[in-house]
Amino acid sequence: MKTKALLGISTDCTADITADMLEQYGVDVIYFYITTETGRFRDMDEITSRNVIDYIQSGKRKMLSAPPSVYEYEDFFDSQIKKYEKLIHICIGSKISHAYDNAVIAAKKYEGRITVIDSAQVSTGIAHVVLRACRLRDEKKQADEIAEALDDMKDMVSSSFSAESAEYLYYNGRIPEVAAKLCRAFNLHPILGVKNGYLKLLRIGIGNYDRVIKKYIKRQLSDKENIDNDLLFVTTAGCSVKTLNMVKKEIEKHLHFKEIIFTEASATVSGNCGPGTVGVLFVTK
Amino acid sequence: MKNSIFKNIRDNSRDFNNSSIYIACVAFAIISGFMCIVNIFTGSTEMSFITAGLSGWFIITALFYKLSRSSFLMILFVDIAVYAVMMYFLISGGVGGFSIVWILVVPPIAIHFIGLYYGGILSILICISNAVYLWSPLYELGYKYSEVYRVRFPIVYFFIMLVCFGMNYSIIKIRMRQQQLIEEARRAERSKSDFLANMSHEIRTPMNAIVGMCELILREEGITEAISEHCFNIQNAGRNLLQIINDILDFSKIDSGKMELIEEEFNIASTLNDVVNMAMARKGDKALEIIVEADPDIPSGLIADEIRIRQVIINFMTNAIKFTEKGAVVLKVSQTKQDYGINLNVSVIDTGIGISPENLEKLFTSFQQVDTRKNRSVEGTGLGLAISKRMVALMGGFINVSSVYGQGSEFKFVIPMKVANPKPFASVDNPGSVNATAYINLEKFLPQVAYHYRNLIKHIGKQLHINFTFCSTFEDLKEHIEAEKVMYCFIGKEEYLANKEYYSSLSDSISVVIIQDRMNAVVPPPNMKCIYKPFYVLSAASVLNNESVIASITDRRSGGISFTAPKARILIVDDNIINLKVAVGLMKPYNMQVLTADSAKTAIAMLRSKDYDLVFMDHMMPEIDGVEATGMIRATEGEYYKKLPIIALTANAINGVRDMFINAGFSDFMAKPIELSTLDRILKTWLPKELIKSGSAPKNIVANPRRRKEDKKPVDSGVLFSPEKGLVYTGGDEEIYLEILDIYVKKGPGKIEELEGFFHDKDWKSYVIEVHALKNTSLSIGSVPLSELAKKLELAGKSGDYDVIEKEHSDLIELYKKVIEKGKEHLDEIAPEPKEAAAEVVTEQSVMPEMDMALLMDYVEKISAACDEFDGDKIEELTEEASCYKYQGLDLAEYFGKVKALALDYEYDEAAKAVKAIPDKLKSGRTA
Repeated sequence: MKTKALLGISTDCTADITADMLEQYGVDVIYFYITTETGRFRDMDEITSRNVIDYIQSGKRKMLSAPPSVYEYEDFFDSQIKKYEKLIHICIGSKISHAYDNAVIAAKKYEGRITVIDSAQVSTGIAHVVLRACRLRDEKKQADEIAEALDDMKDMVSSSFSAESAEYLYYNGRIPEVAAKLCRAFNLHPILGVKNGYLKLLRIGIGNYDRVIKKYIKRQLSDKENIDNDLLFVTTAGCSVKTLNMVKKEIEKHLHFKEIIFTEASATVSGNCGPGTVGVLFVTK
Repeated sequence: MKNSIFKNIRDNSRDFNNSSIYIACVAFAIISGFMCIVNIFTGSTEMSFITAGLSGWFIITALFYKLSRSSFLMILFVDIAVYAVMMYFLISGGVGGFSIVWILVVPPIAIHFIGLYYGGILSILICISNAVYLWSPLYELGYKYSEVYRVRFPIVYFFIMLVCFGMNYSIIKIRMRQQQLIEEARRAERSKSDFLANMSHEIRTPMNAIVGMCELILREEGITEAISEHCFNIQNAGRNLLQIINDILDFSKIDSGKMELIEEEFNIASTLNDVVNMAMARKGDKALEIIVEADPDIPSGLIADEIRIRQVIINFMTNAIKFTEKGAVVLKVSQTKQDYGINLNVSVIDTGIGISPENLEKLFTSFQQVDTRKNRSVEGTGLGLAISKRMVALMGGFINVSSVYGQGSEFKFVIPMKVANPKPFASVDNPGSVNATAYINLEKFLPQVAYHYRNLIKHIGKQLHINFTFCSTFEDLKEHIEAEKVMYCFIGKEEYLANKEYYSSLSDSISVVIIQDRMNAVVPPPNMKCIYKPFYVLSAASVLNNESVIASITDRRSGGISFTAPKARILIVDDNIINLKVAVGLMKPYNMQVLTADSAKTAIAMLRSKDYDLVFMDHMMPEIDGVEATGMIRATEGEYYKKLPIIALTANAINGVRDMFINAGFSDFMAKPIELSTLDRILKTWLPKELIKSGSAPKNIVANPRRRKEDKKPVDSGVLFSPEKGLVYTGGDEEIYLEILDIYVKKGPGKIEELEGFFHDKDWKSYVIEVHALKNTSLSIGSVPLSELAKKLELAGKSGDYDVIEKEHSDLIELYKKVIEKGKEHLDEIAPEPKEAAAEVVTEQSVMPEMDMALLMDYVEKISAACDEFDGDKIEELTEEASCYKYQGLDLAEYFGKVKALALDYEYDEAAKAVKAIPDKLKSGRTA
C-alpha cells in the first residue's frame, strides 16, 4: 500500500509556474476559471494568455476571471489530502483576489491539516513563494515553520509589470474609458506593481514601448545589492520572440542572475494587462 | 464635366458629423456666455452684447437641432452666426484689437468642419462680402486698417479659399475612389464566392460518381482483394480531393463570416472511430505508433457540430503524422464537467520535428507551412490550421500549441458543449469482476512511446474501473497469469509470434487477444481474438463486453448498416441517370422500395398517389428545379404534402445553402457526393419509426459480369462507340451498363427532337442544358467523341459563342444518331438476361400510379375549362400530368395524348369533346 508523503505544496494556477517546474518540484495547482460568452475554461490548461488576448482583440469583451469556488477548493483539497498528511496551499494575494478567502473556508473541514498562505503576490511573485516553500519542505521543515518563513518573505518579493496599453485595464473596469483614451492618445504605458498586497499603478512610461521596457527593467534592477540573484522570473503576455530576446539582453546588461526563467502569464493576468506585458519578478535580500 | 464636379461636391461633401457640430454649438454657447459675464465685469458693454447675442444664438441653434433634428437648419444657423460675426468683425475694424487676418481662417475651418458644400458657400459669401466692402466706398464705414490690407486682403482671401477648395476636393475624390475600390473589392469577393461555389458544384458532381461508384463496387460480392484495395485507394484519393475543395470553400466561408455550424447530437465514439481509421490509413507503413487515450466517461450524447470537430481533429492528426517520421502520435480526448454540459478537450501530441518559437507565432496564418525549405516534401495547402483555429473559435472554444524544436509538438483545443445523453460512451459490464493483463515489449519503442503506452494501459484500467495490469516481460506475464485469476490477456503481434505455443494453449483457458496493425497482420487461430491498432478504451471495452470488434478491411470499408426498412417507399428525383444509379445503389442495403423520377414534373405527378415516405430531390434540374418543385408540393392541398419529408440533394456548397433549403420547404439536405453516414442519419431521422427494422439487410447485390472473351478489345477513345469504355465508367457492372444504354437508345430520338427544337428556336439556355446532359450520358455509354462534341457546344453556349453551335449542331445530331444506331446494334447482339431478385429499383416508366374516378373527373373538368379559354399551355400541362396514370389497368396516356394533340392543332372544341368522352370510354373499356 502506498504511504502518504508527509507534506505537500500546492498553489493557484495564477502562480504562472511552468508544467515542467510543477512536475520537478511536485507541486499541484488548482485552476482559476475564465468565463466567456460560450463557456467556462480552466486558466493555464484550457485557455491561455494568447487565447484571452485574441478573444478580446476580436471584439468580444465579455470575459470574466474567477477563482475556484469553495466547493472546488474542497474537491481539490480532498484529492491532495489523499496524497499528503499535511498540505500548504499558497494563494494569490488576498487583496487582489478572493481566492484566499474561499481556500480558507474550504480548508476548515480538514482540522488543521491544511495551511492556506496568503502570498500577497501575483503571478510569478507567488512562484517565488512556492519555490521557497518547496525548498523548506525538502529540508524537512514542519508546516508551521514553513508558514512562518513564508509570512516573513511576503514583503521581500518584488512583483511588477509594464503594460503596453491601458485598454485592458479599462476592459476589466479598473480604469475609466477616458483614462484609457488619454493613455492611447499620449502613448502612455502603465507600470503596475504589488505594494502591501495591492496591485497598484506605480508610474507611467511615456513614448516608444521598447524604450519604456528598457527603462522599466533598468529601474527595477537598479538596487543591485539588495536583489537575490539566484532566480529571476520574467513573465510576459503576448510578447513576440523579438521582444523576449530584447528583454533578456537588457536584464543581462544590468544584473547577472544565476537562472532566468521566462514564463507566460496566466489568462487571468493577461486579461487584465493585455499583450506586450513584461514583468520582472525577483526576491530581495 | 462642370455638372459632374458640382454634383460630386454636392453629393460627397455633406459628411459633417451632426453630433460634433451640436456639441460645438453647445460649447460655443457656454464659452460666449462666460465671455459675456467677463465682459460685463470688465465693463466692455459692446463685447458683452455681442457675446450675449452669440451665446443666445448658439443656444437657439442647439435647441432647434434637438427639437427638429434638421441638420440643414443647424448648419444654416451656424453659417449665419459665423457670417455675421465675420462681417461685424470686418466692418467694426476688427473688434478690440484683433487683426483682420483672422477672417482668413474661415475657409479652412468651415470647410473642414462643415464640409466643402456648406463651408464653401459660407467662404464664398464672405469672400464676396469682403470684396464688396473693401473695394467699394462702403469701406469708409468702420474700416480701420491700412490701405495695403484693403486692396490685397480680398485677393489673399480668395486664393486661400481656392487652395482650401482644391485640397478638400482632392480629399473628396480620394474618398470616392476609396469607395469605388471597396465596392470593387466587395464585387470581387462575391465573384470569388460564386466562382468557388460553381466550381465546387462542377467538381463535386463527377466526384459523386467516382466516390459513389467505388462504394458500389466495394459492396459487390466476389471482387478480389486487389480490386478492393485499388477501389478503396481511388475512393480515398477522391475523398482527399474533396477535402481540399472543402478546405478552400471553408476558408472562403470563414473569411467572409458566413460559416454555419450545424449543432446536432452525436456520439464521440463514432468521431473517434472515424479519426482513428483515417489516422491508420494515413500512417501507412511509417514506423509510427498511433496511441489513443480517451476518457470513457465522456457522455455518449453530445450536442455540437460533429463534422467540424472531426475536421479539426483530422487536421491535427494529419499534420502530426505528416511531420513525424518515427515515434508516436498520441490522441488524447478528455472532458471537464461544467454546469452547461462539458468542455471537450482534445490534444494531439507527436514526437516529430517540432516547431521553433519564431515559427510558432505564424503557425495559424493561412497558406503558410512553417520551415518551408525543410518541409518541401510535405504536401499541404497550409489552410488546415487557419481553418481549424477559426472553426474552433466559432464553436466558442480555443486552440493552443506548444512545441520543442526537434522533439515534438502538442496541438490542443477545447470546445464547450451541451450534453444530450450523459451515459458514458464506453463502459464494461460488471467491471469489478474483470481481471485483465497486457504484455507489450516496450523496449522496441522509443522512450516517449513506451511512456505513452504505459500510461495508456494504466488509464484504461482506471477509467474502465477494471483490474488491468501491465507486464513488461514474458516472464512477468507468465507469473502474473499463474498467480492471479486473469480472464483476458492482451498481447502484441511480435509477442504472440515469439511464444505462439504458449498463447495457443493459454487461449484454451482465458481470452487471448492479439493487438496488431492491419498491414502484415497475422491470422489468429480460431480460439483467439484479434483487434487492430490503436488499442484504446473503445476496443478494450468491446472485447471485455464480448462484442465483435474483428474487422477486415472490406467490412470496415463497406460500413455497417444497422437497420432495414422493407416497407418504406422512397422516391429519388434527379435528372442525371448516373446520380440516380449511384443513389439507388447506396440505398440498396436498406432494402427499401426505391423509385426514381428523372424530372420534377414526373415526381410531382407520382406524388399524387401519396404513396411515398421520403423524397430525395435534386436541386439543379432543367425546367422545374428542386426548389420550385418542393414549393409546388408543399402548396398542394393535404396534410400529407405538408408533412412529407423532402430532402434536398445538392453538389452546391454555397454559403447559406442549408437555410435556403429549409426556407424553401425542404425538411433537410444532403450534400453530394453522398456520405454513407449522412445517408444513414437522414434515413433514421426522417423515415417513420414504425418502418425501421434494426439489423442488416441480406446481401442482395449480385455481380453478374457477362463479358465474353471475344468482347475484350483494347479501349480506344477515338472510337465512336465503345462498350468497354462505358463499362469502365459504370464500374464494370454490365447489367447497369446495359440498362443505361437501353435508356439512352430509347430516349435518344426524343432528345434529338428536343435539341432540334431548341436550336431552331435559338433557345440557347435549354440547348446548353440538353448538351450538358448529353455530354455525361454519352460518356457513360462509351461514346467519347460525342461527349467531347457535346462538351464543346456546351462551353460555346455558356460563353455566348453561338456561331460555334450553329456551325457544329448538325454534326452533333448526325453523330448522335450514329451512336444511337451503334447502341441498338450492341443491345441486339447481347440478349438481356432476366434480372435476379434484388432490392426493387423501379423507374417512372414501369410504375404508373393508379388514378381514381374522382381525380379523373377533376382532370377532365380542368382540361375542359382550359379548352374553353383556349389555353393551350394549360391543356398540355394537364394532359401530360394525367398521362402518367393508369385507370383500372388502362394507360391514360393514350386517351389524354389524343386530347393534347387536338389542342396543339388549335382544335379546342374537339379537344373539349374528346376529354369529356374519356370517362365513358374508360368505363366501357373502349380504346381511345
